[in-house]
Amino acid sequence: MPVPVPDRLRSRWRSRGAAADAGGPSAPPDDELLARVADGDAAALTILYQRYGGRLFGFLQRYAGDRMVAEEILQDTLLAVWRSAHRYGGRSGVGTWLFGIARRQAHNRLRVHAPQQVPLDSLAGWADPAPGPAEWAIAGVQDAAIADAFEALAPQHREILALAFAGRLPHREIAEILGVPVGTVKSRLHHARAALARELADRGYVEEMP
Amino acid sequence: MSGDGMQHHTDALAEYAVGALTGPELARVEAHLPGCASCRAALLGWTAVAAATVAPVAAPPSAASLVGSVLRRAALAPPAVPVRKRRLGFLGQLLRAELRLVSPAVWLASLVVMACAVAVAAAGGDGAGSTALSLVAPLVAVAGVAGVYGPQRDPAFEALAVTVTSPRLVLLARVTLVFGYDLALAMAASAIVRLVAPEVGLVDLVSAWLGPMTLLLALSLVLAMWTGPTVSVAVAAAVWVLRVATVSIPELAGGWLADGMRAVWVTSPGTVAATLALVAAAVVLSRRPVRARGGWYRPVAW
Repeated sequence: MPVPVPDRLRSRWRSRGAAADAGGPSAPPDDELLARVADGDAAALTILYQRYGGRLFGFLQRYAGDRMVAEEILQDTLLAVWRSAHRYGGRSGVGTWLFGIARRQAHNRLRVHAPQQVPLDSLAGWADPAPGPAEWAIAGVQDAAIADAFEALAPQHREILALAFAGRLPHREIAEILGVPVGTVKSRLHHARAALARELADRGYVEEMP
Repeated sequence: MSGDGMQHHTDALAEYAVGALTGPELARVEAHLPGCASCRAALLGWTAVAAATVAPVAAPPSAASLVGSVLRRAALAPPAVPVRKRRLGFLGQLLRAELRLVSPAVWLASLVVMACAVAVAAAGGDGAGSTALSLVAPLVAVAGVAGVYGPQRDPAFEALAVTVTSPRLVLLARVTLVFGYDLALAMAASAIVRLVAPEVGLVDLVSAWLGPMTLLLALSLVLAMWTGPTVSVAVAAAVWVLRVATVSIPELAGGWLADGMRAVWVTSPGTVAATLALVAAAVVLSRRPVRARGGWYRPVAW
């Protein structure tokens, strides 16, 4: 039985791999590039940007909801990387570190305070990770409708979805960036998807919510 | 749903939909999906979200232009200086600025009075040195501080009254300057007395005035921060008149007042602790909002 991931998504997975090769076959590893950036090597910054720029920009665009603002934050992010590359301690991966900086810069620029740690995630029985019919109904909706509903989501929902999808980050890395346990990332993702389904229903893209 | 004992992978499907899954977990999900309609259905939802959001709405800026802008910004705008460093720099600036505003008469008067004390000590001989310095040095310090504050004495008072720098902070800065100067003067005086009248050791000479001088200054500082410089100077002067009286008036020298004065106005762990506590209180008070020209405002620089 075919696995239901569309080819256009599969091709993007491959393109991620291709982007990671920026700099040629003998491409230096990320942490070596960051060390060179710390020494003031602009070429290393360029390669790093070629590797991560697309995903960072995708994340920022979805999170900020505006192309121009996302470009400004992307520039802020790269400037922060240029200035603080020497502070990279190797405790997390370079990608995680970059997304962490991008998120901070986005908060600075958007004046968004870190979403309050509402203890909803910890309320036993409240968070039900199993998707209901409404969530499954998302599958039948046009991309444009989803993108439209996405922009209306609350910042904390946009943030987690943007990290997971536009950023294409594993949940483990998202957990590091947000400073929360992996389980919290998963439950926040499910809440965000439920919010997206509600938003789609409110806009009439999805049939009656149960 | 999983009657065949199969483990569902609901949690990993979001990662799988964007290709963020790797290694054995990816293999497990790929082995599981073909046989599980429930997970395939759940995956469809995530895939739809992924397909709609994974691609940027617009292409990212080109590496050349973005890196160029970043380097330009890095060269033009200096990195933000940490607050602590900025504050220290500000205090240094303030001290230099205040140095120019303290009247030369203050420096000169302190010097003349201290010179008189040295002369008295040298003429008095045995034991007179430490007594003379212990009585004169604190008074010189307090008088010097009194000479640096107030509308009549401050050429920049009008300008100061409309700036955001707290008048209390300005007073602290000037007290620091004058105290440093008086400390140096008293040290020099002690050295001279030690040379002229070698019967008293330098450590005894210095400890005779250092404790009383800092304690009296700290006391006047707290009062200045609390009620203003006029009351502060009056109280400090009154306290010191009593102190001198118990030493110089024989009828008072044996009473409880003299005993108390001797216990308080020395260099001892107790007086050092009291001095530090008073200085801390003065710093805390200096951060209060100030009422100036009919309105309350909180100085931004302190």
